[in-house]
This record gives sequence, C-alpha cells and structure tokens, in this order.
Amino acid sequence: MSGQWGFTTSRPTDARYGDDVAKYAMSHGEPGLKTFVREVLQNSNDARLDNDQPARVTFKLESLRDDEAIEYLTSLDIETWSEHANLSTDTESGEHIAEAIKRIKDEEEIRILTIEDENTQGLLGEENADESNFTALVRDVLFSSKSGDTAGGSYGLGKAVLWLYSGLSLVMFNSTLSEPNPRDESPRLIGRTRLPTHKSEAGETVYQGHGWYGNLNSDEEGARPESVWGDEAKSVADNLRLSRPGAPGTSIQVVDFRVPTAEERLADDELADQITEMAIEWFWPAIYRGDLEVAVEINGETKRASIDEYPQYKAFTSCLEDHDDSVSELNEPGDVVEATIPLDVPKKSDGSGGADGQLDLLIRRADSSEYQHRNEVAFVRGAGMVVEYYNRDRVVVGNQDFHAILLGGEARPWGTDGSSEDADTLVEEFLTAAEPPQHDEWVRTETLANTYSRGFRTAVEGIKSSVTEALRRLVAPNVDRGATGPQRLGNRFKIGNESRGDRSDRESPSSQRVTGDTNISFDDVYTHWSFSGEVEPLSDWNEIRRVTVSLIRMAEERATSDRLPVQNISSGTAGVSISLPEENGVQVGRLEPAPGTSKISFEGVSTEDRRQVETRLKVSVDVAERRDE
Amino acid sequence: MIDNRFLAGERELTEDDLRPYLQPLGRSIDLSPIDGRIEEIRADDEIDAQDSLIDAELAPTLHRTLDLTRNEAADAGLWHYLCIVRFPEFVHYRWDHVFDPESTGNMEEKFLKAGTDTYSNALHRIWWGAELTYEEDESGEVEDRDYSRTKRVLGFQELANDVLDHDFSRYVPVTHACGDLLCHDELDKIKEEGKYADPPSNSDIVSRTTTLLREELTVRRVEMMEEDDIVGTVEGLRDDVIRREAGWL
Repeated sequence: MSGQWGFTTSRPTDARYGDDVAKYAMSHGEPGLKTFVREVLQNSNDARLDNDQPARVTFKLESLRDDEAIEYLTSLDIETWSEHANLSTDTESGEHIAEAIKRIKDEEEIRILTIEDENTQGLLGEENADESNFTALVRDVLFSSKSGDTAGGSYGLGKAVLWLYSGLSLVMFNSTLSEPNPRDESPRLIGRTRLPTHKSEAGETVYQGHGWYGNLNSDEEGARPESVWGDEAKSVADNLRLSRPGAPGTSIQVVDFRVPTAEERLADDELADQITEMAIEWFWPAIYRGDLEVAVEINGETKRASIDEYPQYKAFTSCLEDHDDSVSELNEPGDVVEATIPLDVPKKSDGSGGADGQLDLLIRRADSSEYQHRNEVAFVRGAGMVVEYYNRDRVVVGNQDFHAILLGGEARPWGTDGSSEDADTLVEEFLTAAEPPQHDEWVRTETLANTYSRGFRTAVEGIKSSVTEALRRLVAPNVDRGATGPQRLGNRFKIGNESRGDRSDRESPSSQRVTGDTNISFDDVYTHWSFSGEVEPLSDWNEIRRVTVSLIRMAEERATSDRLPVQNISSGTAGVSISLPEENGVQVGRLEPAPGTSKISFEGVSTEDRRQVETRLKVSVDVAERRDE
Repeated sequence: MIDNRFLAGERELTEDDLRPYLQPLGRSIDLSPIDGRIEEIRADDEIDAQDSLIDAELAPTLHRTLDLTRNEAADAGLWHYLCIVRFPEFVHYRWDHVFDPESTGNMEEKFLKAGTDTYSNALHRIWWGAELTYEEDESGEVEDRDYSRTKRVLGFQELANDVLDHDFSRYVPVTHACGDLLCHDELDKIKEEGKYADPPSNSDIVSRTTTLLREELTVRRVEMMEEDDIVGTVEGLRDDVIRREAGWL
C-alpha cells in the first residue's frame, strides 16, 4: 500500500500562481543556509512540549544513488508527480523544477535532508481545521498558529523555506502526535508540493499547483489526498526513509535538498558542518539552557552540535553564567558588567497592556584571543534564538573589546535566580511583534503598527541607540579625559572610512562637527554593497540638516572620481525625508531630517556591482545651529 | 632659491650658487650627448616647443647617457641639479606653458620634484618613462636597447601621465602592457577596423582604462598576476571602455 499524488483544481478564471508567494517572500531575505537552519530550528523550538526535556532535532543528510535512488523515487510516486511538473514548464520556476527532475533521473542520484524532531507537539489537528499545527505547517500559506503569542515564528512564512530549499519544491511529513488529536494512530504521513498553476495536457483542466501525497478518498477530479495513518503510514515511511522514533514530534523531508543561492553544490560533510555551526551560532541560548538539542547525521554517523566545539560562543554563554556576578567596571578579560536598557511598551490599540519594561545588557570584556563576533551584541528574547548580532565595533575610539548579550522579555532573568515578571511578558510580546518575517531584527513592523498605539516606534527604534550609549559608557578606554582633548582629537578624525588622502578629500567644516560610525560590506548573494551608518553632531547646540551618502571607488593609491550609484537608502530615524538625487550624474542617497533631529541612522545598498573592486562610503553631513522648536 | 624669477626664466642658478649643497655622484658622466640631442630637437621643424614629442625624442639619449642604477635614479638631488643647473633651458622649453606667477606649484615641481614621484620632474620623468618601457636586447648592450615603446608612451601625453602618475607603473609588465595596448598606433588600428561605431577619443580611452585598472588593482595583487593575465586584463578593460563609451553596453 502506498500513497499517491493528487492536485487540486481551480477554475480557469481563478488567479494563477507562477510560484509560491511565501516561498518568493522568503527567497528575498537571505536564502543562504542560515535562513533555512534558523527557520527549521525555530519551528521545532516553538513546538517543544511543555516539560523539562529539550526539543531534539536531528538533520539527516543522505545522497541516494542508483537502485536506492530509483526505489525511493518509485515509492514517492514520482511518475504521477512528474506528469504535473512537466506541464508547468511555461513559468521560470516550473522550468527549474522540470530540469531538476530530469537531472535526478539522468544521474540516478538524489540528495534528501530529513529533519527529525522529538519532544515536540507533532502535526496535531484535523485535516481541515481552521487553526492547527497540521494546517499551519502543511496546508496554509501565511497563516501561523504557533503556541502562544511569543513563539519564534509569528508569520507562518518561515515554513516556506522548506519548499524553497527543495529543488523539486516537494516536502514530505511524518509525525508522531503528542495527543490523540485528531486520531490516536500515529504516525501521520503526508506530502506536499508547490508547483506553478498548470493545465492538463488537453487543456480542459486547470490545476492550481498545490499537490498532495496521501490517501485519495474520492474519485472526484481535483480532490485533495489526506494524511495516511498508523501502520500504513509506517510502511510508506519505511520506503521513503522517513521512519521515526516513538517520541512525539515531526520528521520533515526536503526532497532534492539544495541551497538556492550556492554557486556550487557542497559535499554532504561540508553541508553537515555548516548546519552544525549555524545551529550553534543562532541557537546557543536555547542549547545552553537545555531547551534544544541539535544533531547532524550523515552516512549513519550522528554528531551532536556542542557549544564546546565552537568556543567562540563561550564568550556569550559566559555573560549568562556571570549574570548574577557582574562587576561595576570592566578591568580584566572575562569581567561582566550589566546595564539596564529601558523599554516603554506602549498600550495596545485596545487599551490593554503597556509597561515600563527593561532589557538587560550584559557586557563581557574579551580576551585578545576571542576575536570572533568581537564587539557584537547578541539580541535574544525568550525563544532562545539570537535574533541579530549587532556589530558595535569602534563604538568609541579605542574601546575595550567585548562580547555582549541583550536579554529581552522572558529571557531577561536568564542566568539569575529570578523569574520573569509581568512586564517581561509584555516586552516579549512587543519584541515578537517587532520582528519581520525573517525574525532577524527588532524594527517597526506592520504587526507592531496594527497592534500598538502611539509610542511603539520610539520604543523599538530606541533600543539600539540605548545599547550604543550604554556601551559607550562601559567599554570606553580607561584614560584621563582632558576637557578639550577628545574634542580636538575628534576634529582630526573624519567620519567615514575614506582615510587615504585625496584632492577632493579636504576637511570640510562638517567633518569637524559630527561623529558617528559607518560600515560597508559586499553582499555576495545580491552582488551589491550594503552600507549603514549613524551620525550625530558633536555639540548639543547643533542639529543635522542634511546627510549625503555616496559610494567611492578606490584605486591603488587613493580614491578615484568614480562613484557607484546608491540604489536605495532608508533611515531608522523618525521623520527623515529620503531622496536619491544625482551628483555629477551618479545617484547618491540623501537624508533630510525633521527639525530638531540630532542623531540619524541609515542603511542602504548600491546598484549591482559586478566588478567588486574596493568601494568606500563617503558621508557628508550638513549641520547647523539647532532651531527653536 | 627657487623663486618666481627663477621659475619665470629671468634668473639663473650656477654650480657656484649651489656649491654648498652639491654632493658628488662618485663617477663622471659625459652629458654632451644630451646637449646635442636637445639641440637637434629644438632645430627640428616638426617638433614644437612644449610638445610631448620632445620627451619621446629625448628619452633614448637621456636614458642611454645617464646609465644609472634605479637606486641612484631615485635620488631627488641628482635631478634637481640636472634641471636647475645643467638643463634649465630645456625645462623652460618643454614646460613654460605651465608657469603661472600666481600659482607656481606646477612649474616648481618640474624642477624640484623627483624621488618616488615619477610624474613631475622634467628629466626624472623622461628617464623613468624610458626605464619602465624600454626593451633590453639579447646583447645586453646599452646601444642595442629598443626604445620604440618608450617613444609611443612619452609621445602620448595622456598615456605618459596616466601611467607614470600611478603605482602600477612600477611593475614593468603592466607598464609594457599599457604601452603596447593603449598607444595611438594600437587604438587607431582598432578604430580603423570599424568594429566599434563612434568610439571615444584615444585620450578618453587611456584615461578610463587606466582608472578602471587602478580600481581593479585594489582587489588583485599585480605582482602575483601572470603576464598573459595582465595583458588580458588591460585589453578587456580597454575594450569595455570602447564599447561602453560608444553606448554598446
């Protein structure tokens, strides 16, 4: 007995899909391996059962060849599936899928990645439930039903990576349910493919593109196959190398696993190493606290991801260890100081909530050998995932090197004997709403705007500047500051990284009146430069009137007059008007803040740069005496 | 000592004037071939005063006569002496057009710059232009050296400036590639082939190509590049420039 594919039909007048919307949205983040590992682990972490056991996740990577591959593909009913895939070739994504299946058949080789989690809820819920784990992960697009309001993923977008990382856009699920909902005969097995909308060969039937692998209970054209259960599911799972242990949880199999943006196919062992390292890099808080265990299995060998093997994250876990033993000054490497970052959570639109919350910033002085993630702040909330590493290198001139963590929401009391308070719960909820679909920063989002009343913007945008200010205070070098020394020194150093002399590089009055920080790096994925910066006047009497950002091509010995156009620029500062005017025929980024603005932050990207030669950021700032408001 | 009057050519400085500052080179070099060649150039009706052809025509004789090591040639004092005391008339003949009594920097550097700046001093520039572009004969004899590339580079002011003013010129394979691929003869040949409609001027091609090359060398270490790679890179950038400027890309 085995399952079969069925594709739901739609009317010719219905909307057609060239590709999956959620898949498309996720592919525009950062579709390297990082996105995949983060999203997958976040799903399992969020579905952890409410007990003192960790969620255990194992990534199993297998490359099947020859007979093994053929047997596997036969069990997958690949012939039926291919008939549909081959009807979808008039779209770009359909063409790629058809090419992938041809390659697999020609080479008789296929790579599959199975992510098996245990001590998680499993795919609970009726086939057609309005809201359930099953429908959220397998069926729906852009609906999310994770437990609690503060789960890591709150958009239901993350799961789209599963299909994005499958060359065939095909994912199989096998789940042991943690409770008999809807049935008491685990496991539950189902497959799902997302193809473009296509027509039958004769053209009379339109298939929406969503295909399901399971039991077809109806002869009607376009009926949706449903989950296979119990012994039958076990037998299908065996053939599909998708059997799982008895503990509740879900196995997800990504068929023809690939990294969408990788230039070349990585070998299994390299892929395994990268998955392990990324698990530690982004989930060390959950792993350290024993909430999550991650392992990678290739060729039958299982290796557990251990923080001990990646000592670069020990600097961060040490912050947690010493949360209760913080000192007042960073004198020695290993010393930890603590600062409080206030966060005024505004009331929700319905008038509920609102709190004078706070986040805990723990800063640990680095040893000279601890150079990885140096001078970065890991942002963490109760989900136990690092949302972002906020780079604060050179936050002050000559700063002491450090590693820091910012603990927010339910994570705030971690490392102490205390437990979270009501305000922490409100902060957790607020920060969750402030995460975009990729969950990789805390910013102003639509959810935030729809849920909270006035003040949410100042609150969320103030986090980074408060962190920066606290760091400036705590990691400043121990020198006796004369009254005029730093000011005079400041005048000597121009903002930006264009330090080599150039005729066009004369000191302008603005360079003596502002301070700040800039950063530019090349993004291999999008072949463009990403830049960011923050500027503020040195004197409180001044305000910023205008900031112009241009990208300068460097030559061997100095800057050239060539410029790379700025494609886009945005500002995290409220009330800034943004434009992209041309200067000498090349587009630059221009920010004009509202009166009274003293500090302005920005980020942006260049146009595509195929030459990838050294490029620097030039920031020109017009400051003037503060106007009376 | 080097005042406006000297720069304007109204005053001379003799060996006696500079005696306290002079240091012997340690060997004697007969400079008369250079005098002779300068005379010939000045008498040539085809070569105007201030023309870059002057540099091209003087270079072989200057370089053969001043058979210096690079170490000696890097000594700025030697060139200051030659320009100020020995050949000031030549410097005026070649460069008087840059003299501006209000802003004397440009003229001053024709007498006084040198050292690692191979672009400015009137004679130093010619010597280094030759040093970086000539071709040694198998015999190794000074008389047998081939200076045809030197003439092509120094005779094309934009090319000479763009090459000599930049760090990459210190690496001879690059200077040679630029001299061979960006000279008038080569560019004119490409244009005659008619492959590119409405190509830019030779000066624009040279200026853009060398700028792009300098940008390229921020991420590539030229001393690690094979000579074929260098030639291919310069050629590729040049063709891109011709195409792009002609609106092909």
